[in-house]
Amino acid sequence: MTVPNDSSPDPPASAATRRAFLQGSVGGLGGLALSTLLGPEAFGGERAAKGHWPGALRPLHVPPRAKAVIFLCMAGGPSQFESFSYKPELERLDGQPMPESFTRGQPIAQLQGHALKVLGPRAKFRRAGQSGHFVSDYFPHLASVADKLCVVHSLQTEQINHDPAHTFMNTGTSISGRPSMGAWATYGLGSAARDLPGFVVLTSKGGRNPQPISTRQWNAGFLPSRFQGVELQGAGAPVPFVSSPPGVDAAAQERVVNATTSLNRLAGESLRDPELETRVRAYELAFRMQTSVPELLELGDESDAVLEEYGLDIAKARSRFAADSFASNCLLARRLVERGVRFVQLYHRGWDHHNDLDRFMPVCAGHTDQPAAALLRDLDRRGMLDETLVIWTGEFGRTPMSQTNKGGPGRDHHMRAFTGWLAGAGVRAGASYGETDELGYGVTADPVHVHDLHATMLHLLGVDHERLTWRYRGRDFRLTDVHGRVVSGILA
Amino acid sequence: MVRMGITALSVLALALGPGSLDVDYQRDIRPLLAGRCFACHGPDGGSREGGLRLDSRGAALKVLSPGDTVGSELLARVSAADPGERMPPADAHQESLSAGEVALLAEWIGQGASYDELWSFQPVRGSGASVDEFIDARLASAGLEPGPEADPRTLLRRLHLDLAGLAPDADEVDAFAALPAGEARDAAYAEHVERLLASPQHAERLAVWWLDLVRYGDSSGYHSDRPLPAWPYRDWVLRAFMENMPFDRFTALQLAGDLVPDARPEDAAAAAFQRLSKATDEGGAQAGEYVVKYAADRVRTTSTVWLGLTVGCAECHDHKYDPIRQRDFYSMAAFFADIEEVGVYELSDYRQFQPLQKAPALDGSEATCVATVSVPEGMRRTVRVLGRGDWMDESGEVVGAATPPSLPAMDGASGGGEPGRLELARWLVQPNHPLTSRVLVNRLWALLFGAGLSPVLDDLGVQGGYPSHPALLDALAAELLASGWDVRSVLRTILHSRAYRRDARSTAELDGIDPANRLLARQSRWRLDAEFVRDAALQAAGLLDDRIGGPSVKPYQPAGYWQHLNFPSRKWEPSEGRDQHRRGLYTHWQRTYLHPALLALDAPSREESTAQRARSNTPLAALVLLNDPSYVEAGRVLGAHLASEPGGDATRVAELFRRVLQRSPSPAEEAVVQELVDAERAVETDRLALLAVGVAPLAPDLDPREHAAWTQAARAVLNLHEAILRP
Repeated sequence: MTVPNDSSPDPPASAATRRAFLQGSVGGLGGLALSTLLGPEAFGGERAAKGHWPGALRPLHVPPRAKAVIFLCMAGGPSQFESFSYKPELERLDGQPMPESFTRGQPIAQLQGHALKVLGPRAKFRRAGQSGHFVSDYFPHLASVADKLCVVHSLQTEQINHDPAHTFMNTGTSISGRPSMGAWATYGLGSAARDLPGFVVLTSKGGRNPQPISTRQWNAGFLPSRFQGVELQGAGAPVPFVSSPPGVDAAAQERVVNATTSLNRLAGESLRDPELETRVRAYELAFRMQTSVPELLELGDESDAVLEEYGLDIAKARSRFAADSFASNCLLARRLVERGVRFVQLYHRGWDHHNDLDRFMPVCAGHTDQPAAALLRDLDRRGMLDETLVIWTGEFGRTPMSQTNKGGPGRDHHMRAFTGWLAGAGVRAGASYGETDELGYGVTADPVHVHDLHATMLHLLGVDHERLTWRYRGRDFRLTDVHGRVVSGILA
Repeated sequence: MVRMGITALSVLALALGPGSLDVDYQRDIRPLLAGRCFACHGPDGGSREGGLRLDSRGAALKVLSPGDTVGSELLARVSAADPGERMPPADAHQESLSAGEVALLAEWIGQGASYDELWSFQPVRGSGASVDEFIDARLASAGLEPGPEADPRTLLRRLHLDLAGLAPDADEVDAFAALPAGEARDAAYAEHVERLLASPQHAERLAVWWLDLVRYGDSSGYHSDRPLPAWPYRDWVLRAFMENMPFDRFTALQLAGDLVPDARPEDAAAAAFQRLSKATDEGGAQAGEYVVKYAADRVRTTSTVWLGLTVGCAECHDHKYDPIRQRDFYSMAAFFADIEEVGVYELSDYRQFQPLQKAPALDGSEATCVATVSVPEGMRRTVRVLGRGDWMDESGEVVGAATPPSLPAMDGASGGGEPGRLELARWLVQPNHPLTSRVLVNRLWALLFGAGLSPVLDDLGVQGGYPSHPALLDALAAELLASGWDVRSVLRTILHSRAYRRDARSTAELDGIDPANRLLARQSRWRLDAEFVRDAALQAAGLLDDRIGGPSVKPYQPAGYWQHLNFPSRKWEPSEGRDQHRRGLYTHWQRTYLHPALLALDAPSREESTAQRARSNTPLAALVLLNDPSYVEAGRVLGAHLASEPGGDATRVAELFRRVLQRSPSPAEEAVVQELVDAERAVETDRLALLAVGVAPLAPDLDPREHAAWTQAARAVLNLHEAILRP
């Protein structure tokens, strides 16, 4: 199986309105907002684009390598020094004062006003695979797929607190109200998923103090709402209001929807409102979602071997499966991409290890290591890894300095250098990119700023990040603001 | 000399006949130059290419020879055949100028290349003409006739939805429609206008609009998103709209109510406006960084709400389009340097420090509200220009509070003493301020037409879009100023225009000439705002609770929706009894987890100021209307009314249409509903669960099967396009 093609967009209701939409929004003529082109009845492009959105960029700017993205966000900020960044020098200086040459004048989070001391690695590292990536013993499963990973040691961000750092990682700025990367991707590329949202978010937790996470992180910002990420929830209905009311079975619900449609069409004769047909389509899709979302959670077509590989409890998964663990969510991510979903984002909340690294690293790795490795293998076996970009990173990393105000040693937030990895479509498998100083504090070669990560991700999707824009408040905005460059060193 | 492309040359040849093109700098040329050229050749000196700027005539003369098209390098470069010579260059990712645009530019140069100050920065010029005279003249010049008046049922429904956010009573619509067209109906219309404008529901409707602008929420917005006791401010807004408080006073009380000498006790909550910005309590937040974030938030909000300018763009560099320097951004931030900040202290201090005050609620009781407090004299924060907005940069120049020099100076500004928030508020509404009145009337217009006369409601700057009817916009702004900032009076003027009362339906001819309806030969239609969609369902069911003001309430929300809130973790406890049926305005506004029904219908999170909501039409919104218990409950309560209605099925279907749409069903519509009801009557399974959704009492005497059948019918009609359409 491969990732579905987006080959059959709905015929446009009116070629003229679609053209106007594209011109209005993609850095086009005059750059008028769509609302000014089509009037108040058509805010948001809904009139131009019916139930199915084929994407604003046709054709794409460059040949795409990836059709879908699965972004594994290790929320809270995992420690690079206990995962993929091996620093023997830290071991040597363990407990010594952090040399001031590194930290003078630098922003600091919870360690403000504390003595800064080096903390040696709290894990054993080994080289893994042909690539020889250093991987800590907390991640034996990812070590076993090391040759699929391109490990980036030089990630950098500009926000040092969780909430704004997530916002920066997702939208390229810390100011609220801008679209997240999944919204940009579905706006630009559309989605081949007919009965599901094009951008889906899955969350799980387990570890230290799960940090809150805002819906802002998957918001469409100033883009039309249809590009907003939809969270599949582990508790209650998987999507808000996706279940029919109690006492209303599928047939009864369908009768209501059909009656609404018939009445809409009848009134349409005198209303003569072009928006009406869009609403009819929205109801059809809503009704299909009521079936397609529960179907996602039915694992009848998955073998025991697959469930086991992800680390799922087979009996439990077969009796009640929900988007409530990282393992479930990794499997769901594959199922979503199979169905044509463009962008899947997983959050695992629990990586904020200010203290007790020794206690919490095994918990977080225990939740995430096996499923992430299984996801890569599973995608690969199905021929989907070549067309799916998988990214693993936190919103930032952690300091080489220790934090010891309570419990065992931990590490504070760090934004100057952290480690993540990419795998799959168009990525140089087995490569290592970027270098940091001997203490892992700063980047010494090949920095990869969040804007660069975005530019590279869009490039792999076939998009020139400078040309995916939306006119808002007088300016053409883009995911990479006025920055970003494609990091060719991590491309295959 | 650069060689021109062949197309451009031939167009030029065509265009060079004198007066062959109607060209206007404000309308045609500035937007063209701004959109394609200003990013590199505009006001921002920091990124100017080749030392050339095109936003001022003196500087542009380097490449412009007024009256001489052939000798103007500007024209040669934008139409150059060689892509290497052509402007804008490829790496700017701007489209080349079209032949038509080149022709316009040529005509303008030929006529002398005159520049003019941006229309919105020029003094407001009033005139005696009426709304319709402006609009009809413009239609006539486009060869269009004004469209017909809407039918009376549609008109009354429109008026009530616009002013109160609620549908009229069906009997009122019948009575109105029965009046003969002409004087009698006009008099009744005027009565409806007056009654609605004076109603508390009108204040509620305006509050939905205003609370978006000031980014009102019931939570702090960052990280743990803690509760923010701000609803007494929302009640104050309601009170102000009910009193039709003059907008200048409304402005001063919000920006500086704590400093207004003659503020009334009931105005105590007004200045909580300054407390609505997002505030963090995240561990490890750096005070210096958040002081800068909060200041920037206040500058963005104040400039969006009152100036209609994107001053926020100048945080890191001079504005690329408007005459706002980076220094002006920080000078504006300095007006707020006296505000005691929350969330910039050690966490332990923060938990103690949240300035609160007692403020009167609308029902006369006393409530707790966040307070705006000035730091003691001499402890104002120092404000510097921050290089690229970097809060750690301490090398920038220290600036005092000052308004941008491109706008009129503060009246009565003397040499002594730095102006404060009160002076800023007075400046915004001083008589010669060109922006505030235009920004406001443009938004009032949009409340009644769905779009502003100037199309971008939050930006009246260079990139915002030239108004369709600039003189009309000015006439209304002048009226607002002359009336002493009487908002109700401006609304009344617009409501009495023929333009407002027109049919909204388009024709093929109109679609061809004016698809965006900027010329206003007809009215417009749009989906109601999220809050009013909810109100409509509750109202049709007779469930809507009409109490005004008070603490925010919690309608049913899917389980688990708040699972990612933490510090502390929280559980949504749905409100009980009548509180479950309050208007959408009163829904608890959790900024990081806005109620999913509001979110699906485009309500903003209110983390930032919003002047223009999106209006989308998505499957998620359809799921809300189909399955959200609030809507299901409305359906089953309405179903109970119908099932207990004396008379036959036809009477019940008619009643259903009257309650939801204030009209009768057509025979075909009646047949569709009848078919649904018959099918539902045949269902054998137990449907008590459906009849028990929500807190409203069960109808005990009804046959459950009959009740369920009419519930399904009610749900179908509540889901209609027409049911949530402002017609």
